[in-house]
Amino acid sequence: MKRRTFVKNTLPLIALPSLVKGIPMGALTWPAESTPNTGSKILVMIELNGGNDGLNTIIPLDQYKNLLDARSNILIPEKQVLRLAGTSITGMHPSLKPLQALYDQKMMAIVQGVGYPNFNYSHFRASDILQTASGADNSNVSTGFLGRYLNKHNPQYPKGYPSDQSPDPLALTVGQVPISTILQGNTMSMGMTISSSSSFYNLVSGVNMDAPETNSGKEVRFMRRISSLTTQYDSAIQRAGQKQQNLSTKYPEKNDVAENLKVIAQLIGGGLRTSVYITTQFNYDHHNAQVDTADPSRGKHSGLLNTLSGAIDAFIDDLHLMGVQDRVLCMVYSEFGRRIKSNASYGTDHGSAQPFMFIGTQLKHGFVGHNPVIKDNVTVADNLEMQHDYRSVYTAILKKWFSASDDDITASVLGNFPSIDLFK
Amino acid sequence: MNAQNRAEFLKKVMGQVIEPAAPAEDVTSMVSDKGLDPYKGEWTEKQVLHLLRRSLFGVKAEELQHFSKLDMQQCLDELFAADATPAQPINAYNEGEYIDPHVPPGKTWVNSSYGPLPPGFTPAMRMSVIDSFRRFNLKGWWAGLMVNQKPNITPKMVLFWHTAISTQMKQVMDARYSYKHLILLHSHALGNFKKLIREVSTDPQMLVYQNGNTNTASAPNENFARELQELFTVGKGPGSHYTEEDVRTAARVLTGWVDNFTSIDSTNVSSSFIPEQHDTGDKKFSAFYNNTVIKGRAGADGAKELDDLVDMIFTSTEPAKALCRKLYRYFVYYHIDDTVEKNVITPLADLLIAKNFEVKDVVRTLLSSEHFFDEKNMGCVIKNPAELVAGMARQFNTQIPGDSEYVKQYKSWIELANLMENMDMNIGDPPSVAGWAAYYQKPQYHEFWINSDTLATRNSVTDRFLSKEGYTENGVLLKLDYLKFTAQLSAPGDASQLVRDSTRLLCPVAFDEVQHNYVKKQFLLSGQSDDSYWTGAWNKYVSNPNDPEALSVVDGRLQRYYVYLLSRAEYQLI
Repeated sequence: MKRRTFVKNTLPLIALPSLVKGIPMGALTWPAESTPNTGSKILVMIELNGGNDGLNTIIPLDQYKNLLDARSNILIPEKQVLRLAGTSITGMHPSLKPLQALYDQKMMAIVQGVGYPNFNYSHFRASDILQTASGADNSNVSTGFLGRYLNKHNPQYPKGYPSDQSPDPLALTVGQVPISTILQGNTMSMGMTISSSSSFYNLVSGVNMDAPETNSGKEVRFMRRISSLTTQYDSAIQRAGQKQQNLSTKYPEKNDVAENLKVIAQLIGGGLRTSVYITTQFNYDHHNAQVDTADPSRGKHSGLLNTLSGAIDAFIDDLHLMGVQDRVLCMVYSEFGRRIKSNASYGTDHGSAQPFMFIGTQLKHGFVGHNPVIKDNVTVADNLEMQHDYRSVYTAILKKWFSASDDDITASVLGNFPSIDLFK
Repeated sequence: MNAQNRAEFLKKVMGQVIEPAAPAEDVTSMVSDKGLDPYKGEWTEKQVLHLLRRSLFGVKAEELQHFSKLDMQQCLDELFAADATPAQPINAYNEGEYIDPHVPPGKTWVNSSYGPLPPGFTPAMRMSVIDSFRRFNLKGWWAGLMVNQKPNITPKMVLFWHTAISTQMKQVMDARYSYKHLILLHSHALGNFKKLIREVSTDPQMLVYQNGNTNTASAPNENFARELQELFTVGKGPGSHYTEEDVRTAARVLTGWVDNFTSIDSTNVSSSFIPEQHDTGDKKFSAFYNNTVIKGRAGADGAKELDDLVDMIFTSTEPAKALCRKLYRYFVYYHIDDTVEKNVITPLADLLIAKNFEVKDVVRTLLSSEHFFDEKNMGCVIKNPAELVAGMARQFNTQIPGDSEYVKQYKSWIELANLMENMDMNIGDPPSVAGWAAYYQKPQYHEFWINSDTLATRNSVTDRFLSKEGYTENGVLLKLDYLKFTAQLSAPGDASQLVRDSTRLLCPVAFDEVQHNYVKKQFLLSGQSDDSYWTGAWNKYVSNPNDPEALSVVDGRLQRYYVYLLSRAEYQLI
């Protein structure tokens, strides 16, 4: 059976006449005269789904002795750790060569020890906490931190959208993304989802498989046709996608992250006025066989990082060739880090704080925060200490990247958190 | 169909086709060649679900579990059991601008007059304003019967008769008539077709709607005589050759029947025969009716001519064939070609005639046939809006206030009826006397229900019913209780079983392994591959249902899962 690409319109398909004359111009609203090269800022979020092992990703070389003690069966051999320009105490996983290059070209910032008080180790709850900005102790928040922000500036959405002022989706998730609460507004998602699709011709609602050649399948196809006509943003997305070809020749084959980033680059280059893109790389939940038993620098985690870094490398190259690199901030994060102490199955269990990685030309290059401290005689109960509340990271992005007002930031992150020093 | 109806109908149809009609797919290769022999194949959940989907407004998990324990005949016995006459609709509208002077709150209005007029109300406003309170009340009552139905085919048959013998409440403007008409359809739901046609012919609602009450010897009105033949009985099938003269002649037979409305103070909801207005001459029909002559009769005997007319019409095989085609389109599929005509329609019509027009055995035969259970006929009918709205509310245990809060209860039911109307099925008020195009108009048939506006409305309604806040309009709150729905599945803590059970109940097209794994991973497991994450979350919720954190984890994931499932094209099918 042929795989099909799809659009899942996460916003209800309401086709009502515009009820809003002037939409408040928020920081995430595009100036009317914007062109691909002068338009507003864009955030591209890449979620490493399952919980990424930060200690084997951004490696604290000055803690190597105690790390070896805690996770000898999975730790990257010291000699294979990639060294970074200007620091001798922190390195990268050997599968991150392209990120090493980006770091050395001063295009990366790495925020150490991102977390929150009273850490939660459940995938579900942890990702909810991260996406809603609720913190650990409030399970009553069902809206997302960007959803609230977009909703505040687009209170009537989706009534009257798309419009002349706001012709394109406010936010897009690309590829197979677990339906994210980041974009959840007060009553509905502020974003739409499109699948990876190089042609953009197969934009169909909520479907990923061919309908069977039966009477039933005939009606499914009929409704999908109507549905794609109904999806009012489709033509805008298709136009943008067709306007811009990918220019980079570096995109790796058979790389699902690259496929999604290719689409995002095309849409950005094609002038789509969408401020937020979210995509996901799966399978970071390595309770066992995270590394090969014979060579800890190889194995499942290594494969994922290799895929990720190759995709980002080509994506950044593409943005430069399109001339839009200064408007795009790329953020790489996971729902949590993994345990300091590895287990006997060559894997790691759920942990707490993690490094957030940022790529872009407008960043203050280098590290925010210090290497995590690994104490002597680590036990399974030990976890990394939080250095930066994740809501401080969000605050920095909203404040400095999107120029959001203090009120907007408070509404978005549900409180006042000190910003971190992330941008130039 | 009068000129106004035709104009309305055309406008409706033209207005609906707002996207270029796609070339119709060829369905000839997908037509079942099976006939009416009793189905003898495997009897699994798949067949049970097919039968229940087509017989009920939505299938509940507990109903699937119950019926799965029965064999086919036992299932049919339950579905075709006698259904009690529903309680009468009550005054739940005595608030706001109109206080019904004769009907205390909570009491029925079905026998109460409209007078005296409240201050500021003219007699004309009795028709347009005051009656609208009762009409909306009656539509809500009807929607309530659908949502609260027992697992019995009667409510689906009542709606069937409404599509087959259509009237419009808004043209009659006396909700008591409309109520009486609905009860007539209910009492004959699985009864005798011929008897129903006889009763409908002198039903006050039909006499007003099709102008029978102004059909007199001196000023005949052909309206009902035409629709009686063209739409309700012999129809327009290839074997139907009644003539224009037959229409005029039948109208003469029908002269003298009136409803008994005299003034707004009238409490008489009935009809009678006025011999002085009856045409007493002999009535000679065409060769199609074997040149039958209905002997003209004077005095009270004139009323008996109607019985002769019905007898004559039913000597033709066409009424049986026309009805069987309608039943087929309603319960099985819209496409009737020579094979279906030969293997299903003709023998079914023969059975209807052999059974002296008793409908019950005929519907039961159709719904237990090899043809009905042919895979080709499964999951291929687009839900009409009543099936979608009432079915959704029923399946997902939508909380509607009970009898003690009848004002809110009726408001909730009326809102459900409003939603059906927003999706182009205004129950009680089809676009014309021909009913809804979905049941008769080539080549789209049921695809008429779906256009860019109605599909968007369907998706937006399911989304809002599933949202955390619920659907709130006009002072009512309607939510789908997806947690309860999930808890009633066979093993909600098992992510795979949850997906299997829920997709089977909600989507008639089976999910293959790829789709199954996709929805499980994306929604229940938030991207993880290990089912035990869901099991842990569900068990934590079940053992601490009041723990807000445990609830929030499960609730959010299920909410997004069902939003996705109900927005799929497959959810629109039965």
